[in-house]
Amino acid sequence: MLKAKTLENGLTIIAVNEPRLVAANAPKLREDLAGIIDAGNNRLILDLSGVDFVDSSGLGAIVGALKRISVRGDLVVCGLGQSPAQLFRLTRMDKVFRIFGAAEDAVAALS
Amino acid sequence: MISAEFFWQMALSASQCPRPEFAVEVLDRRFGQLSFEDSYFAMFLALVDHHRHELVYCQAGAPRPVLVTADGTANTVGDGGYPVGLMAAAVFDRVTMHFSPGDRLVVCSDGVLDAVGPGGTALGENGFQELARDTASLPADRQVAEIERRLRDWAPTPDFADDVSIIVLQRGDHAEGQNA
Repeated sequence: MLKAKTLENGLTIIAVNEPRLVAANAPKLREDLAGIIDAGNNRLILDLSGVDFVDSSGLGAIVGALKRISVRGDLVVCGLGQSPAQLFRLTRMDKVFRIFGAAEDAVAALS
Repeated sequence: MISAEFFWQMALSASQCPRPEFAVEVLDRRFGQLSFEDSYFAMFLALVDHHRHELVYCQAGAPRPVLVTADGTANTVGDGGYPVGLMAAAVFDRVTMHFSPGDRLVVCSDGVLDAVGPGGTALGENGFQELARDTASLPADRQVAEIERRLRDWAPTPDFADDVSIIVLQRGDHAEGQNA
């Protein structure tokens, strides 16, 4: 479900290959993100450009990853489609996460 | 368990002023201590002040409700807000809006907006706003059932993926009484 690539500058881009992040796959998303973080990657760019829809469970898994990184690093989000962006605004997560248009924008800002 | 007494104590100040954001904050702090992993919940807590013709609410991660005024105009209200128990030290807002006799507020859970219809499209905020507007000529107690019926007719499968909750709150004509 996740494809992670770590750049030379230490940034890790995580592409999500699921069109819907919902209750059925949120536990797997949580587990996989935790695995990436626990492997020592703590400057993460979560690319949601392949995701059309996120429900409250999917959002919980993403926020869980941010909490897991805590002060050790950062997790930013990019590629939010219309529906996921609406959920981020509704729940004020657009104030919690730094959000970028494309992964390249996030890389440029964090490098 | 959260009792009605709890809400009255928390959602009204000592001088009987509505403060729904305080009740939500108390729940947020309690739930944040109890919850494990990333569990949280959304809520929309509102109080009606009959004397001031106002509805005072706190929107905490819940979808934006639809205000249908007595003349049939329907608009979504609210700017969003943090869910309960998700972020440490979240700040919750209190919003006051005019709520006249005959106005009604149609509130739903995210399972309503996320219900998927023909072609795989979700109902969404606009779809719910239309449903609330188009059924507003019914008595408030029948409007809920009618929205549910239309939702089930529209969705190709009889079961919803998420829980579906709908509340219709209609302001009566009387100006007496306490907050309700």
